[in-house]
Amino acid sequence: MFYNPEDKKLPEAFIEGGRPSIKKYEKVIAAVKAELLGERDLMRRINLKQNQIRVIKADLIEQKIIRQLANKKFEYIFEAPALDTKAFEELRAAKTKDLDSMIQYE
Amino acid sequence: MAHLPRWGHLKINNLIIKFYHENKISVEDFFNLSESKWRNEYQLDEKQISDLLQAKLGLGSNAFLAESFFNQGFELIPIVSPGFSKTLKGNLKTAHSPAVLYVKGNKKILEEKSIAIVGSRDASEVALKFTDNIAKLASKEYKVVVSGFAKGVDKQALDSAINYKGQSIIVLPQGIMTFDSGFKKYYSQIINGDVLVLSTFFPKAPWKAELAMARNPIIYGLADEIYVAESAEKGGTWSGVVDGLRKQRKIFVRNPDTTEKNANLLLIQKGAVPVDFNGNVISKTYDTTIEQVSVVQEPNETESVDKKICSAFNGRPLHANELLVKLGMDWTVEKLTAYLKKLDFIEIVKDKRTSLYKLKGSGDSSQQTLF
Repeated sequence: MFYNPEDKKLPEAFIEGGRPSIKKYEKVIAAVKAELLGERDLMRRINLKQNQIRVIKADLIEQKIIRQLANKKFEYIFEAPALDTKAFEELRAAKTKDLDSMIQYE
Repeated sequence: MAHLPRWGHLKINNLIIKFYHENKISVEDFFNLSESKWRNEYQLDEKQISDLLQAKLGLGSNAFLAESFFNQGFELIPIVSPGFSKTLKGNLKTAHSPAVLYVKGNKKILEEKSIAIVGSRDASEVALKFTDNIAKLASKEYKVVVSGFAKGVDKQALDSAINYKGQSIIVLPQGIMTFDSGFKKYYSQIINGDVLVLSTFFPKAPWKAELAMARNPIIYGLADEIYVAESAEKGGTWSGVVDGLRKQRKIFVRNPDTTEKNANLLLIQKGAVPVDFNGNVISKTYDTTIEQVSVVQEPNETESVDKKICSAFNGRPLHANELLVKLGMDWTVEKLTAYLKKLDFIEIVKDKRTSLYKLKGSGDSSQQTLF
């Protein structure tokens, strides 16, 4: 396969940008810990795009750190576990490995 | 099952004891039994069987409610669960314990030592200061403050406990799913584990005066110690304390100043324990034996007259005819005089050639003898 090192930058950017940074997750957790907030409130408060908020929200709900109430606001769960970043790092590592395999393919 | 119409706690709890503890079957298995088993094994009559069938029919719609309930972080603690408050069970026993608690927040608060501070909605400044002080002392000793989220003393008890970094239980007079504004207001305390919100009513039940009355025994039941800041002669606090005394609970009442117009003294005469501003017990100076006996009986006409007489005094000795005007009764002065002489909480004070009457133990007689 014809390979130019510059071509690697784009898929790498996709992998890095596929999930918001851990810092952004922490910002969302801190904001929801302080008060009940809806999606739009969060976007304004943390200055994040809707897509990123939705990804973070889905992950935090899955990890039982926050829950969405009937009024659509997000609530921090009492005695919630700490954010587990292992899953995000594993996914990132798996995607990087896939990319490397593609580059190595002859 | 917890909300079967007109069953009462005793009937529901006895049924739970029978199927869960004696026959070792779950509530689900119990509902799957045939009508004949309900009739023969559990001695249920046709009306009760019909109520259970109705409850069974409602399971479908309640399943949606349950889904929404759990999704919003509410939890349910059945009476058979080890997480059910032991204090509540111990105080209310089978006859008065609710079959289920609906909660949100830190459930471990239910295991802590607790005190309830109760009182009127339109409490005086001194009652609110007393409430604040008792909540402060309780918080220092890591005791949970139980209150009913009403105006006045209840709200002061909750806010003071929070202010002094203590823990609190809010006992709702409504279903737990209708408390949105409260969850918003006490959000940080709830998620930090300092406040537990609790209700014993159907989760979507709106606020009602009768639920507020029914909630009072739960407040008293959840507490190891009960403090009354101020009570009127009727209403929730009064009936709650009388009910508590009838159940042989030790209830501490703020000893009122002679100028105060409330029913604290009357409650003390009925058997509650007088305490000072710091909650320290004050020894009683009058005999309450007869009144203590009366609280285990249902209120009757004599008791109501005695109550009226007690509350008519505001610290100053009164002539029989003055008292009669205050009481607004259609008795003759002679009849009232004869009646007063029989009351052991009334003291006769001679003033020249007339007799004055006063409550035993109120400060005026010492003033008169001193001067």
